[in-house]
Amino acid sequence: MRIEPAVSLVSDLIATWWTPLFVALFLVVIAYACWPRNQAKFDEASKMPLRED
Amino acid sequence: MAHATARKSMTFGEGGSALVFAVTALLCLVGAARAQDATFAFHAYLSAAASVLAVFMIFSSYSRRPSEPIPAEIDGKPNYNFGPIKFATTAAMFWGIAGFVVGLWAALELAWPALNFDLPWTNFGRIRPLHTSAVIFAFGGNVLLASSLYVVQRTCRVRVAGEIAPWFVVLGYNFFIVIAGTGYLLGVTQSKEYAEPEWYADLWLTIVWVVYLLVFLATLIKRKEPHIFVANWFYLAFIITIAVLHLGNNPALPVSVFGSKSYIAWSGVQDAMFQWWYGHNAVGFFLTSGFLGIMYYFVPKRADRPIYSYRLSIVHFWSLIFLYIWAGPHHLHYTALPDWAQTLGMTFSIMLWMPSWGGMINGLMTLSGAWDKLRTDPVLRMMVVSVAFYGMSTFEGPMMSVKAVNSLSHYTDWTIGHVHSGALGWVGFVSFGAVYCLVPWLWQKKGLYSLKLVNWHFWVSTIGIVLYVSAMWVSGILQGLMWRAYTSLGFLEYSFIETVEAMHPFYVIRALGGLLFVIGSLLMAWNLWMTVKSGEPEAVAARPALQPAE
Repeated sequence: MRIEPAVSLVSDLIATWWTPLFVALFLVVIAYACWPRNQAKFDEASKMPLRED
Repeated sequence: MAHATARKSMTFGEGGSALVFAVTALLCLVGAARAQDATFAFHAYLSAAASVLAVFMIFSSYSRRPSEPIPAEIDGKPNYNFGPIKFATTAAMFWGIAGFVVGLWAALELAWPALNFDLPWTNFGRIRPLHTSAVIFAFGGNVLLASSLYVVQRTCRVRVAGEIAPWFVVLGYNFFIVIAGTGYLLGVTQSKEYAEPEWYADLWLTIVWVVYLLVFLATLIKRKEPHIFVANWFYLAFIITIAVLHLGNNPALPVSVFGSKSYIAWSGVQDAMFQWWYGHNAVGFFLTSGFLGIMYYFVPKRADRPIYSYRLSIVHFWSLIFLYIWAGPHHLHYTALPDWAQTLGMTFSIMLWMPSWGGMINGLMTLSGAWDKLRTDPVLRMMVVSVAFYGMSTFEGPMMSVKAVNSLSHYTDWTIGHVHSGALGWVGFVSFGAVYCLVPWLWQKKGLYSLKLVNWHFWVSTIGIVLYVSAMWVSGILQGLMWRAYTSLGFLEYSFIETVEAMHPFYVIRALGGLLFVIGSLLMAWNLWMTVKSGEPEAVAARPALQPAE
């Protein structure tokens, strides 16, 4: 059984799509960070080191 | 309760680990008996002894522990496991001083070569990797182990996963350091910068590192806090990426399974590219990401202020992750590496300015409303200056990655100056700050033995860094300019030995800077020793009273 065609298909897909994919992922991260509704959660999280148990 | 004396049995982890270590000890003895070279035999005996010691430690901790499992919580509070962290903190201080002293010695050898005493073990080529590995992996690595295991427990409000596993990680990692360091001195190396240990040490580190990853992940999974604090993201990126880099750079075929020599799978320019993909990301994910985890926990904690912008910390994290991994080719400008790859490395290095400075601003601005503390708290001052050094060296690095600048700076002392402004200023100072915080917390003391001594440490070391870095800037640019100077007839104006002679005064100044840094670390060790020995204990009974009613 030859696996080269499958390998080259996967590698071609990755080579073609990783740039737009990573850019899209990064934009999702930016949107998550800037989403107004997350503000309260982030304000809480910024104080996490200060909490004592 | 009725069966207080009743049955205590070994857990699967205790019994299984003891068995595995016993078998390992036997295999190591076989390896020692059939060894092809003396160093391999020495390391095999050392490993056998360590395995026997591990079996002994498992049984002794079993006999000392109560029959019930260790509780995850006591009185509704997490029962944190600080034992392995105490060990890693102590080891960090020990290796730190050892690594700084060897660095000073290497600096003195460059100024006065006779100081290698014409012995193979003290040759510059052997003690230089001993210095770099001791400071980066032994000192820095133990600081990262200690701080990551501390921060992940505190911000997840849960006891670290496993009982034997965290001990295995810290002890196993330090055993790797011993194997690597003694190997260098005895002449065993695979000649890859910052990845010098031979194949068997690499395999051992892989096992330790995978356990570290599992311990960290399992602790995150059982967390009591819904949100994963940003410092843990930085630590996790550090652990995962170092695993990937280590596996990518080190595939090797040993000449014999009973010998230390091996050959790397990669060859030619591919090997060079793998090496600097590894090398630069060791800077990015070991010396940057991990220590940014320290910054995001210890600076807010010490300043008693929330993180300036949590949003920025998220963007900081992801942009660092997406960009850093591509910057490696800037170590191979004007080599056989294809031009496009060099340009790619340079471009991504320049883009790194944004996350680096975003992170620096986030760290510094966390002090807003608490700037006055810089006057009174030298520990906080140390950490803030470290963040300033982070900003400075991450400005300088991308600048040096520009091909035109690199044509002057590459292979000169400028690189050494750049590395040390990052290593001494950023990594060193943020580590000192974290350890100054950790020791009183771990040993339950009210505070440090002497803040005045911290102040002395700060100033002595800062002057040391300034001497070191400025000497290397001058020496590096001088060296680069002398190398490229031509006479009117087109001949090189200086012979190589003339450039070496010209650098001598700067080598002396650099060694003086290193000496000051060593003195500072000795002050620190004394201060920490006195804190543990005679510091005022924290009032344990008063702890519940500190709880604000929410």
